[in-house]
Amino acid sequence: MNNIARWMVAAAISTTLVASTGASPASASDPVDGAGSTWSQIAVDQWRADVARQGLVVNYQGVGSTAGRVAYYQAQVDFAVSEIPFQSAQYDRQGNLLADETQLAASRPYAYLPIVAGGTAFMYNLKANGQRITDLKLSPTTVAKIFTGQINMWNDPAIAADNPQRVMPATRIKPVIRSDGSGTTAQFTAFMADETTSDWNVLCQRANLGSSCPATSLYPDYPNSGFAAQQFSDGVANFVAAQYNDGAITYVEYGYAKERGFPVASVKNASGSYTQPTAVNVSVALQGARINNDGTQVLGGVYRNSDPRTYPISSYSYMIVPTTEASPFNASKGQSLSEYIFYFLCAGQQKAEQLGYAPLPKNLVQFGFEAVARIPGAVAAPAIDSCANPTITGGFLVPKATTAPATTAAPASGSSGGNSGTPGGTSTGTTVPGATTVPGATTVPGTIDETGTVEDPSAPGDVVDAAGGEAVIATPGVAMATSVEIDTEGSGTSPIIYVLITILLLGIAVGPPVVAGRLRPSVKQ
Amino acid sequence: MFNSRSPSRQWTVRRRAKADPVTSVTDVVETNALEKDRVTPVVRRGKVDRVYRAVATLSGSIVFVVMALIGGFLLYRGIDALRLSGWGFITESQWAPDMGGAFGIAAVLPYTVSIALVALFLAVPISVATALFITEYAPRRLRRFLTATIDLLAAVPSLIYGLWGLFYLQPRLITLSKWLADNLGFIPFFKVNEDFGTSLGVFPSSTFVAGVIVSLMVIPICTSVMREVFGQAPPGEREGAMALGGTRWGVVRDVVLPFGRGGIIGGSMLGLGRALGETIAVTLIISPSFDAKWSIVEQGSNSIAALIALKFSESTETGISALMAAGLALFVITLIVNTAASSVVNRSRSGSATEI
Repeated sequence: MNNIARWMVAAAISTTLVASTGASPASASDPVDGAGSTWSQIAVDQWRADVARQGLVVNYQGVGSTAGRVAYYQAQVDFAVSEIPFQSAQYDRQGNLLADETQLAASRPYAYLPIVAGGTAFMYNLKANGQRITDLKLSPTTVAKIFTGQINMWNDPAIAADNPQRVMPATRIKPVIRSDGSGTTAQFTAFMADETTSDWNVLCQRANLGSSCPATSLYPDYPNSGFAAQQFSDGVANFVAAQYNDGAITYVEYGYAKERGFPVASVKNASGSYTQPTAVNVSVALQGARINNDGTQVLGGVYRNSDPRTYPISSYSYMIVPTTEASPFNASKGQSLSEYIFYFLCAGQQKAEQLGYAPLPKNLVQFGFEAVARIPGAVAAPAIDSCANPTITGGFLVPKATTAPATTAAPASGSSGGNSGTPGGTSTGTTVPGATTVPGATTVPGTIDETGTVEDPSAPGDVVDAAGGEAVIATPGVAMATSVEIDTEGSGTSPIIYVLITILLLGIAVGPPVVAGRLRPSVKQ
Repeated sequence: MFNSRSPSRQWTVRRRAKADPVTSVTDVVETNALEKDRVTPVVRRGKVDRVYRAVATLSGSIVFVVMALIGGFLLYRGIDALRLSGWGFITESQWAPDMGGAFGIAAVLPYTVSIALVALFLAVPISVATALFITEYAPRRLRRFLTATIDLLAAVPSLIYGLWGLFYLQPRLITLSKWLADNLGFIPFFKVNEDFGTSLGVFPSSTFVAGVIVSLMVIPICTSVMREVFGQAPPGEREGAMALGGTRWGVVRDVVLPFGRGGIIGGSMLGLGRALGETIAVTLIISPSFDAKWSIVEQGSNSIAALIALKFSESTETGISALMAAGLALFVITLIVNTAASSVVNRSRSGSATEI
């Protein structure tokens, strides 16, 4: 219904355009239908709205990655968006074949291309002596051990070794996982399955899933794990932020922690720096992405990227596009789809940071261009250097510092890698087209030099990260700043308004029957 | 006060008044042969009657058709998973059909039932008391107001209850949970795992919290049904009890409650049906757990409806089939509960008169 209405509106607009101007660059094109990831949906929807103004109709339903992949091989949609590629054959414990997605999908040839990038942040709620800890540092192994139930206390030697700057409290760790299927889970488990395999396999065994298991959208749990599970990113973030949940930690998109004014752990990367999951650090990490012959991602180079700014737990979701004209696809749709893809790979990525993601770096845009070339009816790719992607036009990613001080240093200066989320501030108003919405960037505390490191005036040690946390939170600006203001104001709002509203609502609901009862001639019965 | 008798009576009277001129235009004068005249229109209405009867029968049977279709659909979609798991579907407590692991409802089902029981444990006494107050004790004006408010509460979407419960009730309720665990910890229901201690953090997302919030949704429904039934206690017996010198409480105990027994059971069962199937509020509150335990205050609970809501979007085909099988189990249990309820209601003499 809705789709048809939208299509009609778009068609009407484009015909009037043709009628009035006589020459329209984009002729009325076939609408393209897609389904899949909810994790990527915010970005996909924004880009859909953007291209709709040019008469390009792209429909998308966020039904979940798995459902999206199924819809693709069942030929119900033109394209799918998923965090994980088609899964190879799966067997149950008796050895019966459950499903073989790659084989099912072979009937409708496809190509993968990168669409939305982001990092998995670890939001935590931890107090020591009544003071909230904001400078937690974790190595990937420690993270994996926490989320597989092998480390249960915050003062565990492994955590203490990552945080020599302070004494960790003897609080029990409460890992909070997603109870629903989620792309964040898929990306985090993919990291663990790849990088901390032995720890991940411990969870597989405890959850009775065999000696090892692949990445999954549904986080495995086991009896008496002590995990808490909540629905949606909002759900886990609220749960961790709850006052009574001292000691809780969860994996969630960075934006959800920022909104609530909660810190996220700095994670140790291959160069030994501890970094925050800012858009820049994620984009830097993804410069190490390689791709298999079948188009699936090889993120080893991302997880182990030697750039000191790298946030190691970074990844991207796929768009799955058809490479033949098998029904329901055709060349006309291919043209629309390719125009949409070129938009989001280039100009669309300018909005990635605002939307809570990270822009795809040049190498991934290049992969995308190569994949588009295989779509039937695709228009020719623009020259890569004319692509309006902020990582290509410059200004967003400052070239890797040759003499980055962070590379040699231990955790304390590693935190400056975390601060490198701010260099966007140096380019405000010049190259970043979305600059009008990030005025806050100019007010970043601390001075920023061209290499993207922060010369923090305060002493090294635990103070550095506190300041770094501020810098990171202040930078991307508006959205976060306002939400915090609302939070502080909310408590001050007079309760009288709420009482009045409640009385009004009650009056509206209860009034009519009571009045009607009075007006009715009384029946004596 | 609000019973439908008086308006419906007015309506029928008006109808007759309208219908009369039509039938009697031809024989206005033959006043006393009315009986015969009345018979003719009845015979003429025979066709209409038959059509009406057919339509009524059809709509009645549609209920069965729809029910059979739902059951058949669930069975059809779930049969693959049931074949895969065999009897394990009933004995297995894990739920990992997507990863090739075992799956079954041995943990989910007890949790579903325990949430519903906690809800009923709180809702039934409150509902009975509220309904009695409205019908027997409240002043007339207050009665109208209360009835409207209860009906209003029944119309509030469950998501609203869920959100309110999550953000307002849960942080406050866990202090009660903690008190129960600290002071009544010797009862298995209120015991918590010693490993985790009794800090407030172990109490949210429990069966107890979910049950309390579901009870809020169940109370208005139960109260509505019970109020209706209590209000129809025969005035003759009521007045008789009064005349014999009974107190108001005596009337309640000896006339209203026995007469309304079917209503109490029927209302509770209706509430149980809703509690078993409640989805959104439970999904928001619980932290899904797949090992059944006695404790209701400790974190970790589950429900079939919530399981389906949570896992559906990212499930593989096997996973969806397994969810459908779980849905079938819930469907069957709800049918059993409702059938049992209606048989109980029918067996009680007074209840059958109330036509619940």
